[in-house]
Amino acid sequence: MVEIIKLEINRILEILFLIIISIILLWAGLGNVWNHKISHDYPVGYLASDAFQHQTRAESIKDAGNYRNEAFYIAKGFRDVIGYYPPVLYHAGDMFSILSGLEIYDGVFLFLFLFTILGMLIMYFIIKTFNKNAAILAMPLTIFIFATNTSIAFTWGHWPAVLGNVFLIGALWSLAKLDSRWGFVFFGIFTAGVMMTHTSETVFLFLFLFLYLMAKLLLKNFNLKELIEIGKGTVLALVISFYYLIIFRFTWMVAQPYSFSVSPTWVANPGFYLAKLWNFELFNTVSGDHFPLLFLIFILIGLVIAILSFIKTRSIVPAIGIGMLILGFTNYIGFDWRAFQLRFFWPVYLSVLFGIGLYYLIKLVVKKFNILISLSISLLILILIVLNSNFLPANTSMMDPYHWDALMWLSKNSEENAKLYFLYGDIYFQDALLRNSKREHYLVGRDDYINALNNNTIKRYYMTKLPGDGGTMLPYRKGFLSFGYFAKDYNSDYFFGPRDLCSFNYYIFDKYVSSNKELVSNQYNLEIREKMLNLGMQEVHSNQFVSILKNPKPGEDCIGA
Amino acid sequence: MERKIKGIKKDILYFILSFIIFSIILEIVFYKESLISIIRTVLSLYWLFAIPGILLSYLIFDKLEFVERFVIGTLLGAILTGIPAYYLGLLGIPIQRSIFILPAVYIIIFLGLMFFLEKK
Repeated sequence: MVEIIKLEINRILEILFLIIISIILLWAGLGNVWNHKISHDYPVGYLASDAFQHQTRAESIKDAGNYRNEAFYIAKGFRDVIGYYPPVLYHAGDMFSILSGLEIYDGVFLFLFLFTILGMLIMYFIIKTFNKNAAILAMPLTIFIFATNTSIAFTWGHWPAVLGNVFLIGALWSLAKLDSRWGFVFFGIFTAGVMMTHTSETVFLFLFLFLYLMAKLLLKNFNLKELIEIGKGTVLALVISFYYLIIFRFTWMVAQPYSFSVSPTWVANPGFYLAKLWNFELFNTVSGDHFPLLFLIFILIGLVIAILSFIKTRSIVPAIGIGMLILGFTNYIGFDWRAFQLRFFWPVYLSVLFGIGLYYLIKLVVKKFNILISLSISLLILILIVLNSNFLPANTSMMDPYHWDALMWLSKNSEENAKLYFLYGDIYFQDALLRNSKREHYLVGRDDYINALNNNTIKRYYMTKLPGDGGTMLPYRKGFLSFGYFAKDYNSDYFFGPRDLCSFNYYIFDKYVSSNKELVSNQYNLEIREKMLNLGMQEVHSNQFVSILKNPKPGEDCIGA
Repeated sequence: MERKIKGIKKDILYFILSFIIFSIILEIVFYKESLISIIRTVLSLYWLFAIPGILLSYLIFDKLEFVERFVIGTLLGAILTGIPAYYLGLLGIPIQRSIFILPAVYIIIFLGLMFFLEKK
């Protein structure tokens, strides 16, 4: 009886711990930056173009009701470009947003954080099959996903990679359950989820499987039944993903084929690294690009124990920690920046090693280990990390109410076939945010604009960018297995070249530009605007920061040149 | 059989409890949001992802603690609804309808299978 009561108390304590952990993770990850509100008047927490790329694609799928094609305002004005991005994030996120009554920009972002935390909890259950106390002690490391450079996975818009890693954790969980009669079904569905969310994570999943099975073979513990179940799950995943994989084959694999590229750092992105040994930091790092040394020590101790444990038990749990550590270094063997996307989840994957290392170290000191000890230590570490970390301040965003108001006005009031021209604005060069206008849009070439400004000339022709997502060369379908590419069909001048300033329907002016040192005057935009107003254009919308003019006679002189 | 029904009854209770706990977690983190909005958000999560995923987990895994079943089921649920919604969209059924159709179909199929297998 006493034993049963003790068991129940332990169970309740464990559940309470998971609830507290979930609150802390969600608070630190999203609650803080969202100022503890779910609904916002404009996207909050969005810090780079790619975040808007995914938000606008999700928005366009909601508008169209399907993802047959990319929206024309995403695809540089082309209306036949096939929907080529892995679709799961957008569809699951859209459904969640629509049903919950949230705007897409809030709903998809919330969905992403909630599922990341679910992924962390799955990792807890994976480690728990090895040792419950190690699982509890592992959890504090996971918060580094929000407290270090890895947080750009969310704010800079690596959303498919995030969700792909979450499903990869699901696939790892189901690997440990393959002995169940239909266990391969879960593995198959999770693998399909990885394939149709961020396909490159599939490569890491199968590389892990290869390493894991090879290691078992070397240790003379190869299990043919396990391989057969993995095979059955893989076939299921391929059947589920078949239609999308054809699109993937003729889009991503054509435009961005695998090329061997070694890159120790992630160019133009704040990457995440295992350590900087010359920085002795306890609970946080100033640079945010590596684990604090204290945590690294536990991870390395855990690594040694995990290797010994795997040799002895062949358990998949230590193999996950070892395998994901190795795969995070594949940037050195040709996987380039994809390895850095896997590293976004190092705080979760390596929590296996951290938990194991910490557990065995404490066990050296404390002979009678129980759940209360591990719970207390885990929460204490977590609180110390939180207190020593800098999370994003409330309401941090690239977007602001004024630009959002202008973009929304354009999307609702301009004609569907209108062509918009954005003059220089500090935020416009993260140009995926312009897609919120839901119209074909053009952006003045930055260098040409600055040259003209410095020469004090207002010209009729400016170098102009046709922004949009051209990453897969704007593919369109000719037949089931036959694709064409607008990016090949058109001359490169079409996408970036001189354009007649007077040929557009709407002009968007920022009234204040400030952040660029090369801009000697922030009056240039307003001078162009004045000329246009004097020659018959009308201001159709204005707020504190943005002015929108409508051109009644596109093609005619609009600047008195 | 009796023991299994007892187990399911217990899990239904846990399921309701999990809904309340999930709502409380969101209410704590997003304390400036209205309770109605929080409840609607949690209801959406449960309808779209948790219910289909958890039901499938009962068909495949007999012995899982409820919390683990809830977490893995919800995670799986995002794929269970996300991928078919994509394909249904291509076939002409808009995502706005998939929201209601897919979970309902899953509930019917998975519950039907559970009863069928139990009878067998």
